[in-house]
Amino acid sequence: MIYVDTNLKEENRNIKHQRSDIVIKVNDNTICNLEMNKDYYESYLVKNISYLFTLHNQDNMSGIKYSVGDVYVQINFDNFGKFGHKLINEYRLKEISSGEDYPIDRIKIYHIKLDYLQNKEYTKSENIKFIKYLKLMSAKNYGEALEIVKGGDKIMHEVFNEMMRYAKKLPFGYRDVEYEEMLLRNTFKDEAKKEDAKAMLRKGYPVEDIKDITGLPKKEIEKLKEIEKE
Amino acid sequence: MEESFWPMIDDLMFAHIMYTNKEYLIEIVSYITKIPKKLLKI
Repeated sequence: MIYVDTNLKEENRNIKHQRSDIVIKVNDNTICNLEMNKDYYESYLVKNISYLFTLHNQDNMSGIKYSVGDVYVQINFDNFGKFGHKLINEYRLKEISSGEDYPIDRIKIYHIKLDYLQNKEYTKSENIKFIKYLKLMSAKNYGEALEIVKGGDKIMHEVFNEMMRYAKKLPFGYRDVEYEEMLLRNTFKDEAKKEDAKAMLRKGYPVEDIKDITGLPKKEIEKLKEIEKE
Repeated sequence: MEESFWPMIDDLMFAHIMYTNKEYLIEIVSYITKIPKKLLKI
């Protein structure tokens, strides 16, 4: 996989403010164009699609040759609830009455409905990492992001740090010591609360009382109760 | 840390994050498109 220069050729620069967000080339024949759409405006779909077709038509960009067999994939990350009925929505050209696919699969368009993550509980273990990655992208505030990244993997922590660096215009490589310490403090604080809750459960305290005393969410205490039973 | 420090992601920031965190990009693109991670890592 390589990153491709996102600037369109000179003659195409009237399209999509001259550039896309990210373009990558995978293998020899797949081009992926990733777009973050923060706000909805009527012409955004047309602009994004125009960009995709311009990529397709442009036979040479940054020294990379495009050929007839290439597959063009556009992934739109939509941070608003305008359309789509699930998290990952895939769009293709189809015949209207039969639903038959148009016999080319060289253009694939995905819309990732980020606002869908706000109201939905995800329990499938195989999805959890992906869901957390997307949730981090759409977090509304620092507290929410911190909650998501807690217990996350190394990649998530690096992205979180990079977001902070970017927001504060700090140099690349800077580590947010304050954040890292807070993360550790919070993790230990939560662990201590859980131990307290377990002790109270063993003594037969009602869940509601444990919730009031420790501040842990009811769901969390009920989970601990199940574990204690086993 | 004040909450106001948290940035709402926009296209420039998105591009920055995806350029500086290749593994993050690979995980996301692979999950959505079903392109094997092995191919994306090359």
